[in-house]
Amino acid sequence: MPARTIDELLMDLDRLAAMFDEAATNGYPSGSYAAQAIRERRTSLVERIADGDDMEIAARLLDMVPNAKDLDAIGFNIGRHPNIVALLDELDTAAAEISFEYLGDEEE
Amino acid sequence: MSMSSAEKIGEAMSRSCKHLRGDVLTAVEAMVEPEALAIMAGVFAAVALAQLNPVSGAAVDTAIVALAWYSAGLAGVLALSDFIDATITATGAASEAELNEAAMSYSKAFVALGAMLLEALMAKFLAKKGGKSGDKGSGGGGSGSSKTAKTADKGKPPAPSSSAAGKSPPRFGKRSKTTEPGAKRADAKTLREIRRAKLREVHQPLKKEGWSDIPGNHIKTFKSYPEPVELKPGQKIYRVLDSESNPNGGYWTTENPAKMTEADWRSGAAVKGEWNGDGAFVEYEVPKEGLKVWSGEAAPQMSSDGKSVLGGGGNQLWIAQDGISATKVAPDSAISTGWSN
Repeated sequence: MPARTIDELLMDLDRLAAMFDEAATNGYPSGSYAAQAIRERRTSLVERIADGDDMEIAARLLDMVPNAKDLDAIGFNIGRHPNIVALLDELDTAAAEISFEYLGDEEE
Repeated sequence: MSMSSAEKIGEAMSRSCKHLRGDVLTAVEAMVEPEALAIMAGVFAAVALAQLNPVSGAAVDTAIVALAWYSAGLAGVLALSDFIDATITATGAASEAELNEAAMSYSKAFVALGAMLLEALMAKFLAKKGGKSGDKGSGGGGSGSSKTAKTADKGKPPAPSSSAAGKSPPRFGKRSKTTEPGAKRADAKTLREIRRAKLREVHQPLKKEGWSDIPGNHIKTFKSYPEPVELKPGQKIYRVLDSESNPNGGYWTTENPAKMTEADWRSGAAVKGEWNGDGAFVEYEVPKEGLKVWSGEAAPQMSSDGKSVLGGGGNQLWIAQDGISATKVAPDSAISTGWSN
């Protein structure tokens, strides 16, 4: 059973994007770029669910938030933002868990 | 007021802290630590003097401007100008009120510069302490070295092959959400592999005595648990950049991008065009003390198009960039990848 429902995930994605925006106003301008990317993924997830292609929904769920390497590439030092790291990891895991509903794991 | 220029700068910077908050405050507090301040205030006093007497001294160190540009583009350069104005105000302060005015000017400039650029500035000047004087702009006070871009073919566009690497000034690519070279159609097997990496138990950092801990969110970018490795002196490592990337970031590789196509690099390193437009790379030669890193294969991840997959599997290094393990590469040392962008 996933830790979050899709609706909860969508709400928390909004929260995460707002946290990146706040970081941007506090001196980490690349936070705005991350916030925008998260909002675009949120929109994309809603659209894919409406379309109903399980594989595409799973693919989106496996790329809901930027990972540490993505953020490193834009110069956003996540080590300085423990609250963002915590929610980022939670949502990354939650989305991956939800993906089982659309893509089973036959190998396990 | 019986204070030297450097002392006035230091005092004004310290007083600016009460006007700051968040990460910018943290960055400035690090700058006004006694040892850091002793070095930086002296450098900034010289910079301010050079601005007032441009004939007698060099203008702003081009490496500082490059740092500002790399960190924040035009806004960074404009903020740097505000910072210099604040420094000139501080050095000319003849009363407490004028020092306070300089402190206020500094606080505005610090906010505009942002925490990342402040950290970069501090790294640059503190690295000069005991550094190689001939290594201008390398930011490398340590024994590691970075190479400067070759400019023999300046003005000519790079040829669209890896053989052009280094022969032209970097032509940075734009970040893009289109399908990257090297991305492949997603299949269920690869999606499951991506999921396994995300759901790996990484609630605790990996630890090894003598190495910086690697936190869980970085562990997840590896295909399996990374290993602590000590790189030998003289070994070269590489980091691919776009125009806005921090050259001294966390992710590196032992694989020379100059010998690879963009497709090989993107698929092996699993780096999305959405976050890294590429076009250049920096190289770092491991200093005589060696370099302790975490090493493994890059985990696969989704392409920027949200449908294809970058397969991963290439060598990936994670460097903490802290007191235990750090690179010292100058922002202006980027070498063209030679890839067509």
